[in-house]
Amino acid sequence: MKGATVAGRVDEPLVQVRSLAKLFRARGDWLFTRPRLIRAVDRVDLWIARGEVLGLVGESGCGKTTLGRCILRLIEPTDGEVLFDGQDILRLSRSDLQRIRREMQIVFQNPLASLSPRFHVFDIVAEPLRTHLRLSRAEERERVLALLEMVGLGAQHLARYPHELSGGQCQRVAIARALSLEPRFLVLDEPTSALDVSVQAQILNLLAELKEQRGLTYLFISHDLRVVHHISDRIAVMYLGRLVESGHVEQVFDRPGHPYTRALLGSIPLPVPGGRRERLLLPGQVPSPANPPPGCRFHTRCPEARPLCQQADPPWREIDVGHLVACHLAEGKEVVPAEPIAPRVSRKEV
Amino acid sequence: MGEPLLRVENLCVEFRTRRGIVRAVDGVSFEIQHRESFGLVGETGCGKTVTGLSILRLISRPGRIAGGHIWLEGEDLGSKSEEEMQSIRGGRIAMIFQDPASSLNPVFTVGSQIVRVIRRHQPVSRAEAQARALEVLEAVGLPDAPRVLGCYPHELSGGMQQRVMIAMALSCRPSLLIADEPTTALDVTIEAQILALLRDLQQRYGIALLLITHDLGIIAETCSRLAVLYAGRVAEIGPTEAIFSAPRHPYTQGLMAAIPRPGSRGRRLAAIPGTVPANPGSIPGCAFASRCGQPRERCWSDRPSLTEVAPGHLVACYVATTEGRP
Amino acid sequence: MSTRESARSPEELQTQRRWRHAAHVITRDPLALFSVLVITGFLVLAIAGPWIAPYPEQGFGKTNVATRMLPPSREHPLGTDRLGRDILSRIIIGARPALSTSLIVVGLAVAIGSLLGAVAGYVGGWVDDLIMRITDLFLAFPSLLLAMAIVAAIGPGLTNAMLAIAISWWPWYTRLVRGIALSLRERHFVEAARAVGVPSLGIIFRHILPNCLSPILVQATIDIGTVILASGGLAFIGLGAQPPAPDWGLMVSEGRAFLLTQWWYSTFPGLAIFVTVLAFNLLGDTLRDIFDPRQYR
Repeated sequence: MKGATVAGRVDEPLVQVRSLAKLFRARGDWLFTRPRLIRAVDRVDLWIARGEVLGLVGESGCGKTTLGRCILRLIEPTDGEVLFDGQDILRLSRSDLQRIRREMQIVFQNPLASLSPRFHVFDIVAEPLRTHLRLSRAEERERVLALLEMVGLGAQHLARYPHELSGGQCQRVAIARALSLEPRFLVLDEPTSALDVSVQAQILNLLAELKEQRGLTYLFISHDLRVVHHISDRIAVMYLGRLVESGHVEQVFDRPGHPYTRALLGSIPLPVPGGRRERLLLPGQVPSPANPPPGCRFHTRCPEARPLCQQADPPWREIDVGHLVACHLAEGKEVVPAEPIAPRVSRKEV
Repeated sequence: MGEPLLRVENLCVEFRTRRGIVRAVDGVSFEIQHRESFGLVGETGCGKTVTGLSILRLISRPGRIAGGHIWLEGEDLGSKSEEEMQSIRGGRIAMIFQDPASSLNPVFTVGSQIVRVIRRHQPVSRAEAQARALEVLEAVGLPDAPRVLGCYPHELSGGMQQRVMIAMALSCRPSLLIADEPTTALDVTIEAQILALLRDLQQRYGIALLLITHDLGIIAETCSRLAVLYAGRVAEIGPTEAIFSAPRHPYTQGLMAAIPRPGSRGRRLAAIPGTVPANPGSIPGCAFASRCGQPRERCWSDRPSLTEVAPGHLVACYVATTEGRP
Repeated sequence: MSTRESARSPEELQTQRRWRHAAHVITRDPLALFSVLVITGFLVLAIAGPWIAPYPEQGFGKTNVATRMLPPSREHPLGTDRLGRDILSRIIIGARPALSTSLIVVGLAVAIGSLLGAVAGYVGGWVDDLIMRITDLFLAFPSLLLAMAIVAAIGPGLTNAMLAIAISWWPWYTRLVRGIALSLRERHFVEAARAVGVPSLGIIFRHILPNCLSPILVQATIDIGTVILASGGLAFIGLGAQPPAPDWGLMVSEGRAFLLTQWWYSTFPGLAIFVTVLAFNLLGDTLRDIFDPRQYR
């Protein structure tokens, strides 16, 4: 729980997201009706400490992928702040953004689709180098080879096309490309969900090794709680565009504070015959983000919902040191979620 | 135990590719008893889906069933005419797939699609079929079933679509339901719902279930027996309890160790090195030898056959069967 | 792979594999072989026509009253026309303008059209709207009619005809490429390129356009045939190439009046158009297979 204790609020987090929102416009029902707004990400606050892995968990359509893209500004957020190393990247000019992109990279879910089908491995890994650095051909080749070796591939893969590689190998190439500019921060968007378990284990090991060797910081987005639990230091749970719980892995997994988190944990199929944790089958479907329920967004499926839940947004409460829950039923002191670590930046929080 | 519901014996399926003939399924045998839930587990390319499709004889060119027999309640499906197979498909054996959205025709309502399936297999009037459709939709736990009947597939969420597929599969009271990765495209909370539904229906209607999946966790909580496929061959087969408590094949052991679990946090996962061989049919010995931790001399030259290590628990591995636990 | 192969640079390996693959694609399919042979022949005629034709000066337009309207014979294998010119020579000499016309027109149309399409599809927003509305405007006209109107406005002649056809042609490529670019924009590899800081122009030229190559090639080769037909059509109604140019369409048009009595006059130039257009249409599929790395072995 480094950095999370009251006295330990010393490090400035590497990434700090404040009240981030992304609205998508969908066409109105009729020609002249106003376009509907879909709140994909709805005022999310989070922070990621240096050298930490923050696991972002949620079901499809909860906005976790959009949130990851917004943090890198691959999608332009509608509102909010993203501080990377103290700089608000949403206010950077285009050229400053290009420069800072070297520091933050992304690895996608579908390894084959994230590699250009007409490039061979060498060109794929060399492209970022060519974009940012002026290297001689020999230097370039050397760098590419070193990168491939780092992810467990070799010279024999240089002239292959993505479709000639296995899923795991493609994902290794994508990781090599992401690391080619020596970033400090990686967004890993479901990097293993398209892979088989045995290959998934290889990639998870690789990611853990790289993190140790290079002191990387990860935002690990996944719907698979087993994977997130394995690799993360802290966890944030997302439901319908909002965070509902965040805290250290052990806090969230062993003492989940939000009913949704409890349901998620109860749904994991465990490789133990006949055994789930607490069986808590959630009824119903996830509501559409175009028309989210008022109040607590989870109340339509929550087994413990009260009348209050339908009316008011739940406040954030700190139920344990660094363990925050947005639920009316939680007990603890109310907090502003972006503030668990006092940031050194002098901006005033609302 | 009497005549099993389904008996697959030495099934071989080949695909003609540009690189020559590839054996996707290479001598797979297993039995499914009446009312049993049986799991077929393996990674991409292990032949589990092809096995499922072969049971319904749904393998089309460039693939073909190159050998083996499939018996349904003692009848050899290989000797059936195409017409007879059509009445078996959806009638006595139903199948649901990973992606419910593409299994449903987007231009017809859910109701009309179920009614069509029912009337194809049973001589009932439209009204009777409609009533039956409503009944099965209610049976799969769809709230507001009359409304769903008039919905188009895109108006339903993924979980509801899969429920509709299950309803359609149930509509003709099959004795075997083949579910090929039925929850892979769904979220965990919805997955849990669908698995609970499958277990419930299986007990309520006495249907046998063949569950094909890559996820050992799903097998563990749904099936009573399972077979682990590797490279088109059965590596290990037996009761779920036995295999999970003491996996004997090194591949099964590797698979289990590769799953991240609460205890594995912060440690390296035991990944299986290497990748699945491209054309395992051409390998003379054990298909897993190249990735195995302790291959013996014979593993490269002779193919291990399934050998019983405990009652009903069979393993195809020389190391496991001749030297005790590897 | 052996160490010998890894000692070579990826580029060399790639080139080598591309050639091997091309040879494989061409030889495995008789239609591909046919198209490649016909088009090679066509290219040879276009380049070396004046040295191959039996009567090159007649091919360029020199008349010879003594040999008017002769049927096919040993001296004139495809007969002669009403001004006594050897039709074989006229066809051979006509290959070059036919090729250059179609290449220039299709080249122009592809260059303008696919660039605009890629920009519209990738950039989106008002840029997309603007480009696509202009495109729709052009598409709303039947292309040959538009070409005729343009020629009528700026005067007949081969250059004007080419320009007119090119102007009426590019919107098809814009449509085609924009559609693909729209879907590519959402693909992860494009997003990945943006994430590593590749500028928009780089993405358009290196990620979007190369992945549009297959459909563009198929469309372009089919269009080369269509352009030969269209310029023939313009010539036929007197708005394209002007006599005495050895234009295939013009020759069909001249022979039309004699179709029943001197059948060879129109038939052979028509046949030349037919075979060439067919070969180009077949070439489209062949090229798509050749340029698709996913089919490499």
